[in-house]
This record gives sequence, C-alpha cells and structure tokens, in this order.
Amino acid sequence: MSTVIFSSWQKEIVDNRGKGEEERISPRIKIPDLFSEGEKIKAFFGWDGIVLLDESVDILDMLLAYLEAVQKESCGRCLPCSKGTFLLLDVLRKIRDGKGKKEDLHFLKNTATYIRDSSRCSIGQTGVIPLLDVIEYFSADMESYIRGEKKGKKFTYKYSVTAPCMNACPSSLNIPKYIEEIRDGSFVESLSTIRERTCLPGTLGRVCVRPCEENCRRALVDEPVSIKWLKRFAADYEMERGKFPSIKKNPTDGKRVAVIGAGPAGLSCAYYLALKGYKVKIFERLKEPGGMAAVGIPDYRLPREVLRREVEIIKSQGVEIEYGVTVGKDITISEIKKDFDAVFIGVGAQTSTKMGVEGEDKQLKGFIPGIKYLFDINCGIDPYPEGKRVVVVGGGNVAIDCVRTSFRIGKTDVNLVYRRSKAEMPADPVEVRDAEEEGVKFHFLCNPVRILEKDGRVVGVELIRMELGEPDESGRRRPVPVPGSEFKIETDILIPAIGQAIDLSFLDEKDGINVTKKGTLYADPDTFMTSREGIFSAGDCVTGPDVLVRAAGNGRRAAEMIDLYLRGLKLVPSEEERFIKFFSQIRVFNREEKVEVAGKMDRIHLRMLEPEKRKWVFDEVEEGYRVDEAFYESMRCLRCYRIGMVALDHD
Amino acid sequence: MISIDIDGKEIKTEEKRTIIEVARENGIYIPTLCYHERLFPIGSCRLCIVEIEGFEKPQTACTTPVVDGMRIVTKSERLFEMRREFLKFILMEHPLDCPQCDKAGKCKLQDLVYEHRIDKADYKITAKKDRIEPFSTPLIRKWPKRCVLCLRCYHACKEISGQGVLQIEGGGLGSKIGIYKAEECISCGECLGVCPVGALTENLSPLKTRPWMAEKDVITTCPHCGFGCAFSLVSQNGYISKIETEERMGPNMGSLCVRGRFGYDFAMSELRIKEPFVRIYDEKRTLSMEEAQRELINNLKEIEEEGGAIGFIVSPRITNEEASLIHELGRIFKKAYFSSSSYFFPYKLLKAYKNAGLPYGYDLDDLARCDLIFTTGSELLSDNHVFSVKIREAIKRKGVKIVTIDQYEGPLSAYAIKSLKVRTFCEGLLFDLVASYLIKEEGVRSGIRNYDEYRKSILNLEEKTVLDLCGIGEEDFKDILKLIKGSKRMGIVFGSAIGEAGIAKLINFSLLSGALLFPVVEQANGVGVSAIFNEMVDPLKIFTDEEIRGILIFDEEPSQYLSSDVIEKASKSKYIVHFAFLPTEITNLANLVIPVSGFHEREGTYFSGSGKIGRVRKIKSHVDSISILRGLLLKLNCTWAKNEVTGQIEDYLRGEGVEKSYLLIDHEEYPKKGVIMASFRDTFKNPYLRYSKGMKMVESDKVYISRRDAEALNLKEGEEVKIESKNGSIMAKISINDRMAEGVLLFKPHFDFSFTKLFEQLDKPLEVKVEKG
Ligand SMILES: Cc1cc2nc3c(=O)[nH]c(=O)nc-3n(C[C@H](O)[C@H](O)[C@H](O)COP(=O)(O)OP(=O)(O)OC[C@H]3O[C@@H](n4cnc5c(N)ncnc54)[C@H](O)[C@@H]3O)c2cc1C
Ligand code: SF4
Ligand code: SF4
Ligand code: SF4
Ligand code: SF4
Ligand code: FES
Repeated sequence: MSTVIFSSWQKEIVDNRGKGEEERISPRIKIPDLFSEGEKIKAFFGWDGIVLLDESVDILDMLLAYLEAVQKESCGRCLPCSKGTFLLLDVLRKIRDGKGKKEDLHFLKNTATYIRDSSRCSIGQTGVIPLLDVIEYFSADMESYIRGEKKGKKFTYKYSVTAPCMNACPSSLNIPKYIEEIRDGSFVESLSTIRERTCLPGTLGRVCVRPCEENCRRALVDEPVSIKWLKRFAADYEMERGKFPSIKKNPTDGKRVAVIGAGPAGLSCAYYLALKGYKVKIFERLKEPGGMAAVGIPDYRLPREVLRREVEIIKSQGVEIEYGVTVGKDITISEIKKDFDAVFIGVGAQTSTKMGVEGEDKQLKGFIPGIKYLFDINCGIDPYPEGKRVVVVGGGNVAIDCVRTSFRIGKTDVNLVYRRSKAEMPADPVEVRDAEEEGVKFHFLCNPVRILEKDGRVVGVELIRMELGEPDESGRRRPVPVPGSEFKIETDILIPAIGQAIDLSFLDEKDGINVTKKGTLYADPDTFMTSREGIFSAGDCVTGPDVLVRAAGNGRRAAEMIDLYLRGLKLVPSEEERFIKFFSQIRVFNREEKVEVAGKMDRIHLRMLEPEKRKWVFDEVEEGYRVDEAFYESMRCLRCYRIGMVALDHD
Repeated sequence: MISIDIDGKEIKTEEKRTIIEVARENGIYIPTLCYHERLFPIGSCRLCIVEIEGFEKPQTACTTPVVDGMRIVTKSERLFEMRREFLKFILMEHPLDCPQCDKAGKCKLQDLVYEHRIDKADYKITAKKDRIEPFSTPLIRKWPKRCVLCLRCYHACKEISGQGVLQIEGGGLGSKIGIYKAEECISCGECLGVCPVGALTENLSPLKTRPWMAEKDVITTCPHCGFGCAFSLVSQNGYISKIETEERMGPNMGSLCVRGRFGYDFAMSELRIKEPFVRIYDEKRTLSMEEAQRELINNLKEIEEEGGAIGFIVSPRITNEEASLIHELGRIFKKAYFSSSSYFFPYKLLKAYKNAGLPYGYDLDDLARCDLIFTTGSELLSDNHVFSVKIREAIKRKGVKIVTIDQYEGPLSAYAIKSLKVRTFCEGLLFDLVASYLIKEEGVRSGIRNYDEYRKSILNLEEKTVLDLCGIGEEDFKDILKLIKGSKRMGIVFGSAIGEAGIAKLINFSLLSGALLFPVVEQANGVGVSAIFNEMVDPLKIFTDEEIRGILIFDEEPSQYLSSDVIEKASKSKYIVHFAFLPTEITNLANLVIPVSGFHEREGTYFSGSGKIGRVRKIKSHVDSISILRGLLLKLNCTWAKNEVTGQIEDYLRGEGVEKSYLLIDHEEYPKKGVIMASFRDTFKNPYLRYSKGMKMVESDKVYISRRDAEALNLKEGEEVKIESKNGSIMAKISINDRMAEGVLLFKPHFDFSFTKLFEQLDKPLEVKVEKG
C-alpha cells in the first residue's frame, strides 16, 4: 500500500505534505495500490473528500475532470446541480486558462456550498465536496494556479457512479434508477432497468435477503427504502397484466454454451448469454426449473407461477432447457464439453450437512434432512404423513422454512431447536416473527445429542442446554454445553437444517475440475473459470450455500466472461466491475453519516394474511404494493448516487 | 393533530402533509416554481427551501412532511441569497425576451426575479435568440431556451394525462425536455396548462392578449362534453384569445381535454350566422329578426290548423333556461313532439334510473372510494380525457384497480389490471353473467321487489354461449370474477356505446352488487335537456312521421346521428326551421334560418353528467337566444314561468316516489357472430367543432378495424374500402389497429358524418360488410 500524502476522506484530515516517510500517518481509508494490472492509483476524488497518493498530481486538472463528470451525470432534475455545477466548471476553466482572479475562490466556495446544501440528490450534494476540500486545504496551490505558476502532472482519470445500496447489491442492480422510474410512473421502464441486471425480478422481489436495504442511507433518517418490495411491484405490474416484455436481443453467432443446472445461477448465465446471441442449452436433473428457489423455498413465500413465468421469459430469448438429465450419471461433463464451445456449472449445494449426533446414520423413519423435507413438500408430497410432531434443528432460513411449511402440510406440534439465542439467529428476523405468529415453539440455547428411536423410527430427541461463551471468529458468542442439563422432547419427525453441502459426485477425475478444501468447486473469483479451460462455474456450488441474489449475479458475471472467452479476448473484469470492487473496498455506505433530511416518511409494509388463516395454506402470505403505495415508497428514496474518480498512472 | 411552528406562528395540523401545504393553508408565503398542487412534489427548483431547527442544511418545503414539534423559518438572509442564486442560474440561459413572450405578466419567473431583486443576469452564458422547436402537438409551441426545467410538464403528461410523451434529455446544463413518444400525444395540453413560464405556449389563436389587457374573469362551463369542466375565457373586445384554467377550478381541477382547451376557436369563425334568412327556391333572403319570428309563427300555426304536428329537435348544449323556453313554446301547439341527440343516452339513462327507482347523479370523489373500477363503452375515456384523469387520480392516490371492457384498448388500458376487448353491445350481457355468478356462487341476494324475476332472467345464461358472443376468453372471465370477489366496493364508469339494454343491465348489476355507477354523458347539458324534455321521441320519428309537418331544430345537426337520406327526404315535404350559430348540413335544407348565441354568449346553467349544476357565462352577446325565444312566446301571447328551472330539474333527478326495482328487458337484439358489427363513437359531439382550426390540426375521421379482420379481408392500412349495410354504402379509408376487438368496425368521426347512411337507428346492432373499394 503506497502512503497517503493527503486525505480529507470523511472529514478525517491527514496531511502528510512535506513530511518524511516515518512522520507520515495513514488515514482510515485504505486505497489499494492498483486499480487493475498496470494501473497505479495516484489520487482518488469522491463523494466524501479527496485522497492524494502522489504529490505531483495536478489538482486543478483532476478537479476539472471531476466536475466534468458531475456535469455529465447531473440528471437535470434540479437547478443547483445541473446549472450551478456548470458555472463552477466555467470558473475553473478560466483559472486553468490563466484568466482567473483571486475573488474567484470566494465565489467558488460560496456557490459550491449552496449547491452542496440544496441539491436534490447526492450527485449535487456530494459532487462539490472535492472542490470545497481543495479550496479549504489547498488554497495556496489554487492561488498559485491563478497566478499561472503551479503546474502539476496529469494522469488518466476514470470514474464511476455508485450508491450505497447499489454497491451492496451482489447483482449490481441500478436501484436508484428503477426506484425513480417507479416514482415517475414509468413502471415498464423500471422493470427493464431491473432486467438489465437480473432475469429474476419477481423472484428476488419476494425472497431476496436484501443486502441493499442494510446499506440504504434512508435508514439513517427513519427506515430503509423497501427496495425489494418495489422490485416486486415492478415485476408484478407486468405479470398481473399478463404482458410479456419486449427485450432487445443480439443476433446469434452460432456458438453454443451448455449450462448445468437450472437454478438461479444457471438461469442467469443462460439468459445473459442468450441476449448476447449465443445458443444456450441447460441440462437440469429435475423436471422443474428454479433450483432451490423452486424446490427449497416454499410456495407461500414464492409462488411457483412467478418463477415459471420468469423462466418462460428466459426461454423466450432462445434458451433451451432439457429436464431430467443428471450430469455425471446420464452424461459426463467431458462429453458435454465436446459438443459445446463453453460450459457453465451451476449445480448448487444439494445435500444437508450432518449434525454429528448419535443415530443420524441409521436411516430411521422420521429422520428427514431439511433440504429433502422441503423438496418433497415442494413436489406435493408429505414425506411422512403419519408423523404429526416435528422438531427442526437450526437457526437459518432453511430451518424457518421447515417449521413454517410443517403447519401447511397439517403437522400440529412444530418445534425449532437452536443452539444460540434468538438474537444470533441468522434467519431473517421478519421470518422469525412470522413463524412465531403462526405458533412455532422455539427452544433456544439447546442442541441435540441423541436421537431417540423405537422400532426403526424416531420417537424423540435428547437435547442439552447451552450457554454463550466467548465470541468465535464470526463474532457471535460461541455456545457451550452445560454439563448434565440433558432433557428430551418427544417427536415423530426430526429435521436437521443446519447447513448444506455440495454434492460433488457428478464430477469425474477426468473432467479436470479442481475442488477446494471446503468441498466447493474451484472457480477464479474474477473470471469464474474453473481449473479446466472453457468450463466456468458460479453460484452455491462455488460459494457454498449462499443466497439467490449472489448466485444470480455471479451467473450473469460468468456470462460476461464466457462471452469474452468465446470471442477470444482476455478474461478481465470490466471497468465497471473493477469500480464495484474498488468502491466496496473503500465502502460506500457510511453508517456514521448524519443525513440531513427532515420529516418522517414511514416505510410501507406489505399487507399480510392473518396468521391463523395463512399458517395452514400455501397461498402467498404477503400482498404486493398497490400503485399508490409504490409511489409513496419510491418517494422515500434519497437517490444517493455519487461519483468516485481515480487518477491512474500507466506504466 | 400535531403542532408545528412556522416563522414563530404556532399551527395545528395533521401528519402526512408537507410544509408547503400547511404554510399555504395558513397564508404563509414560500416561493415556489416547480411545486404544483395536482402533482407529486417534484423538487427541481429548490426555491422553497426553509430552515428547520436541528438541521444545518435548508430543506425543501414541498417535499418535507411535517412532524410534531417542527420549527420552521421561511425567511432568512441565507435563504434569500440562495434562492437568488438559483434564480440567477436560470437566467444563465433564459432569454430576456419578455416583451415578446406570451406569458409576460403572468410568468412565475418574472415574479420571482422581481421579488428577489435581481436586476441583471450575472451569469449569462448565451445571448442566443430562442428558436421555436417542434413539439409533440402542433397546438403547442415550444420555446426551449425559456424552459426553466421545473419538470412540471414531464410529470403532468405522466401523472395527469397518463401518457409518456415527454422525457428529460441530456444532462447537466444541456438537460432539456425532449419528446420521447410523440405518437402518444393526445394534445390535451396539460403540459401547457402547468408550464409556469412561456416555454410552452398556445399555437392557435391569432390574437395574443396581455394579461393586464385581457378580460379573464369569465369562468364558464365547457360546451363540449358533460363532464362539466370549468375554464376561463380569456378575451379582448369580445374576441376569445385563449382558454385558461387554474388548479382548483371546477370538477376538472384545471384539466381539460383537447376540445375544451383548443376547440373554442369555432366561436370566432367568420362564417357565423348573423341574421335570419329564408330560402325560397334556393335563394336566400335576409330578414329582420322581427320578420323571421313572424314568418316562423305563421308557418307553424298554419301547420297546426291543417292538423299537422310540430317536431322539436333541441341541442343538448343549450342552457336549461333556453331549453325551458323552447319547452314552453312547444306546449303552445296542440301536437308537439320533442327530441334531441340526448335521446340516445342521457334521456334513456334518466328514464332507466327513474324506472328503477333510483335518484340520478353521482359524486366524482367516490371514484377514489372504490377499490375496483370497470370502464366500458365510453369514448370520453380516451382522447377526450378528463374523466380518465379522475380515474388515474384514483389509481395514483388510492391504488384503485381498473378493468377496461370495450371494443378497443384506449389509453386507460395501459393502467388497467385487465383490459377486455368485447364485441359491440355485449357489455351488459357480460355483467349479467357476472351477476348470475354472484347469485349462484357467492350467494348474493337482494330484497328488491322483483328480484326473483330478475334472477330467473339471468340464471339460465350459459357461460360459454355468452362469452362466445362477447368474444371473451374463459380465463379472462375467471380473472374478472376473482377481482370482483376480492373487491369491497366496485364502480362502473360507462358511456353510450353500451346501448339501451346495457344501461338496464348495469343498473340491475348495481342493484344486486352495490356497485356504484358513473355514467359518462357526452353532451354538455345532456342531463338538463333530458330532464326538461322528459317525454322525448326518437329523432327518427320526427323526420319520418307523416303527421309531423314542421320541424324546429335548435342549434343541432341531426345528420350526425340520423341517416342523411332520411333527412333529405323529410326536407322535401316538411317545413324546417334551423336555429343555428354556424351553418351545417341541415342549414342548407332549412326553409328558415335564425341565428342563436354562441357558447361564449350564453348566460345560464348546465347540468353535468354527474347531475351537478354548472354556470354558463358570456363575454359579450351579439345574438341572444333567450330574447329571441321570449320574443316568440310574447308574439304567441304566452308568458313563461318565472320560477327557477334548475330547481325543477333537481326535483326530477331526485325522482322520488318510485319503488326500487330491477329493469326487466323482454326483447333484446344481440350482435351476430362471425360477422362484422359497426360501432359508432363520438357522434354526439358539438357539430360546430368542424369549424375549429385547432381540431383540424390534430384530428381526422377514422374507421378502425382489427389486424386479424384486416388480414382476413386482405385490407391494407389506409386503403379506400367500401362499407355496406342493408341501408346503404359509403367509401372510407381504413385504419388497421392492433388494439381493436375482432369482428368490430369502429367509426370515430370528426368532420365527416356520411356513415350515418349505413344505419336506420344508431343504437341498434348493425352488421356491415367491408371490401376493397
Ligand atoms: C430452503 C431454502 C430457502 C432459501 N431461502 C432463500 C431466500 O429466502 N433468499 C435467498 O436469497 N436465498 C435463499 N436460499 C438460497 C438460494 O436458494 C440459493 O442460494 C440459490 O438457489 C443458489 O442458486 P444456484 O443456482 O447456485 O443453485 P441451486 O438453486 O441449488 O440450483 C442448482 C440446480 O442444479 C441442478 N443440478 C444439481 N446437480 C445437477 C446435476 N448433476 N445435473 C443436472 N442438474 C443438476 C439442481 O437440480 C438445481 O436445479 C434458500 C435455500 C434453501 C435451500
Ligand atoms: S443529479 Fe441529483 S442533484 Fe444533480 S440535477 Fe439530478 S437531482 Fe439534482
Ligand atoms: S435511499 Fe435510495 S439511493 Fe439511497 S441507499 Fe436507499 S435505496 Fe439507495
Ligand atoms: S399535450 Fe398532453 S399528451 Fe401531449 S405532451 Fe402535453 S400533456 Fe402530454
Ligand atoms: S417546458 Fe415549462 S413546464 Fe416544462 S420543464 Fe420547461 S418550464 Fe417547466
Ligand atoms: S417548489 Fe419545492 S423544489 Fe420547487
């Protein structure tokens, strides 16, 4: 890491100008040395200040470049930013051309302050920050520019626009844009904006774990914007009207790509490849597309029609799906590779992790791993109709899905066992609350030690009480058993739902695809290529059990790489992708920021079926936004677009 | 109730309101440029900034909701300086050509610049003269450099008009309002109406008036449709220079359709009839009014003495006051028959309400109280769009769901959760089917007198047969039922195209289900005229009945809804008097022509489609119909009732004394299957619109056919075709439209009404044949 010469990032002033190596202090912000191979970062100008890594940077030149970017990105929807920043630029240009006056600095400061304090969105509000910081901390340099004395070194500038929510989204949706389109009543356009980055809007709009909302700046005012529900609104608006989108597609060039697995990763990869004109064929083991979204996630959270319709649209782009083909059994990867120009593997994480409890391997009746339990139910089968009492072990979303579906297939006594306390549960708190409302009995701070059996079937489980000890590497306090605290719960069904693993049995040594120590497929994090050329992979089988939005996002990214590969180009992430990475390194969302927005606008929650009505049926629990609600919610968005620019030295 | 403090004044108010709303209500001025009551807060000008305790940055009053205890300061040096700076930003590019600008004197920018004591444009960067750019409609001129980018037009086009014609283009200083989908423009002029400066100006009137010179206090009711829009007539020396509206004016709240906003110029036509004349063997002879009145009385008396009857055809665009005088006049004659174009819809509508024992009228605000609205059979919901503005408002503010059921998908369909294309005169039948479902499946009952008979009449409907006839799929019907099941309060907005049986069926449906009805009346005073002449006959009778030998046509053109052959034939044997403002077809056949007031010369009242009174006001009368009619009555030694006619109409509409009952129909004609049926729209429009240059710029006569039918008939877009019915045939240019129902030929006339040759009676199913011309 090169040393910082000056930083005003987030108001932490670090001024190492004229200081010797050892005197220099480093700021909190960490700027990587390289932007990409052969591109050294010399300075960074952004929404929260400026960082110089090289004293020779021509600040005025970079400031001009930055304000030009602001002018370009300024959307024209408010006066101070669209017109005012032009004025600033005009004055800076005069200074550059040797026509500046000393009073100009006063004017710049004054006008920039007005723009900062009154622009409608963050482009204007933060777009003048570098200028204000330069005037504040580099006034002598500015005066020297005005006198025509100072000359710095000019570098290449690159910039990109981001937003806290956008940067947190693993699929990189342009969130402020699609929300603004909803606000403008352009619902169709909003959905096409979403589709630029994901082909599963209705699915994500229902079940996404929404990392974006955790990074939503509106939360610093009242509550985060309902990014997810707005997405669902846009998707439902089209679906309810029975309309199919018109999607622009490139002509086919004939190259063929095979995709293994029709889960979110495979579908996304296939869709974006098809848009680029490739012929894509998906091999899917089941009779149904969607992967865990179809056979894991229960229908009351994600109705099957929603998924099926999205797959219809994917297919309408020319993607072919062959169902009922298990790769590794019916056909090997190497065989597929012969027929296709590239292969994508998106087989997900299909098996349940073992609990390591006595009696687990005995094939007892009533012992059903979570994934299998949900799979059966999603296929319309009750795996054990005689059993009415259920104990589920685990604290994640899969465990919650297991308990909540249990009522829906007529189980009467439903329990959840979790070894930590409620606060540590990784499941979505909203889901936990819903499960509570529906009458699930929670047993916190206990863990199974033994399965109780009779005549080859489960009759109960022995548990031990736990207490929370020191924090572990995940930061959560580690549960430790309390000796002698064992107790029993009677049950017919015991469901472990503590984790998933990847079923690697489809691989053959000859395939030449490496696996990691964690039992996942190895794929390069930037290029998504496995150890075998031309074979790519992403999704749960690479990351381990994860979430839809990441599997789908990486599926799309892999499609980009496959495209480069098939065009014989070097596999490097796009500039946009590099910026996404760079921005996440320096963090876009600042939880400490004091967001100056007065007035309260409560987030609109979805209307839900009554717990007593919903708990027995698979009908969708939540009702989407009405038009008026969508309008209101969209107006809560602060449009936190911001611009980050780097000065790059090419060697 | 919460309490806030603005400039030291304590104010009690409600949550969920913005600072600007509360401030305005309490008479506290905050400068604004982009804020508009009808639109969601835009937040583009930033002039409404205020200081709020606890916040360093100023906040925009138009977007900030009030919260309890908020302390607000609206005036400070910093605020003033900032606002001043923003205004100077606008002046960077804004041409200072106020003396040439239509808007000068009523321009928000002028006011704000003046208020902020700006005496020069400090940051001027261009001094280029503004050039007019083409806009999405020829009725509006766009001056790009005058635009202050408040974005009102962009949002109004979307939020109010429901179109997406405009967009914000470019970025930074180069940002501007661009045309995105010109073909979607319906020339409603909402954009023009909200533009605070002279960036959009009217491109119609040759006379431009200065606000301080013009007379603009004449707020009248639109003479076109029955919505009852209010607007002000801006005029100078009796010459109308434009139509203007304000946010809170009338039930239209400032909205107008293309006819209301731009269809006024016919009133200034050079061709207006100024003096009475008689026609003797094709020769015109001018008469004095006195002579004309005598001539008329003598002729009518003569007919009466010979045992003949007199027929009256009255325009539904005249005031109640005129109508009641005509009614008095008619009653002098022993045998008099009354009719009007309002016979087809408002008249039958009022009768049906009366027979069902229902009071007539509705409250537009109830639209937003429904959760599901059906719209059916009304042309006014498309290009003539104020009613649909109301519906869209209900969608936007309350999330109301819309289902459209019509022969084609109009602009509202884009918002509809479902839009069904149904064949002509089948709409009512579809609701019968829904009713039978409600009774059978949902157990809906009603305690109304003849419920059992009604039930019997619909229970034997066979779903498949009905849907087949309607041309509607089973799935679609199921979806509709599901929506109905989930609804707590339904509304049905319907128009004349559903036919007489349709009216009865919708009333029945409403009695059964509690759905609210919102009939859309196409003529400005259709309701008033139908209440005054509450015993009408079919206009066809007036022209064909031998007994009727004299016809008095008041301000109306019957060839828009009767076959011109019939009229021509009648004119050979009957004495025809035409009271007219401008000459139309019937003028040339009339024996005597007498001038009447134009819409801008009338003083009196209208009853809108919702049953509410609207005031009609004049700027200056050259001709006064009322005194002409009174003169006639005086000459016939008759006095007229002094009491207010509006009270009588209201009594009639209230219609007490009839027990509620279902309307049973003994005979019904359904359209035939597998053939093309004609559907006639908009035939009741103001006949004088053909003299409007504004309308000529944007409208043309259209005959639509679906793509499927066109393909089957091997027709090409724009081709001349021969259209034939059992009554006659015409030639027309065909327009192929993807949004049409199959098996329907839809006529949308604007200037040419020759298609009337095809039918005998307008509101009966009519089979037509279309072939290459
Ligand atoms: C119960 C449950 C609930 C969840 N809830 C959520 C949630 O609410 N929100 C969220 O974001 N995420 C949730 N997830 C996680 C999410 O579903 C996954 O992260 C996501 O589906 C991973 O996508 P994928 O395409 O990588 O794999 P998968 O979805 O697992 O898809 C893999 C596909 O490959 C097929 N396949 C496997 N092996 C072969 C083979 N050999 N030959 C042919 N085809 C094969 C499979 O049949 C499957 O269709 C949940 C997961 C589960 C199990
Ligand atoms: S980008 Fe933001 S600050 Fe700039 S013009 Fe648009 S709304 Fe205003
Ligand atoms: S307020 Fe809007 S733009 Fe800002 S983080 Fe939240 S969703 Fe994103
Ligand atoms: S006239 Fe109406 S439809 Fe046309 S651009 Fe203006 S608001 Fe939109
Ligand atoms: S044309 Fe008029 S209404 Fe539209 S943005 Fe410009 S100034 Fe505003
Ligand atoms: S009136 Fe509030 S920003 Fe324009």
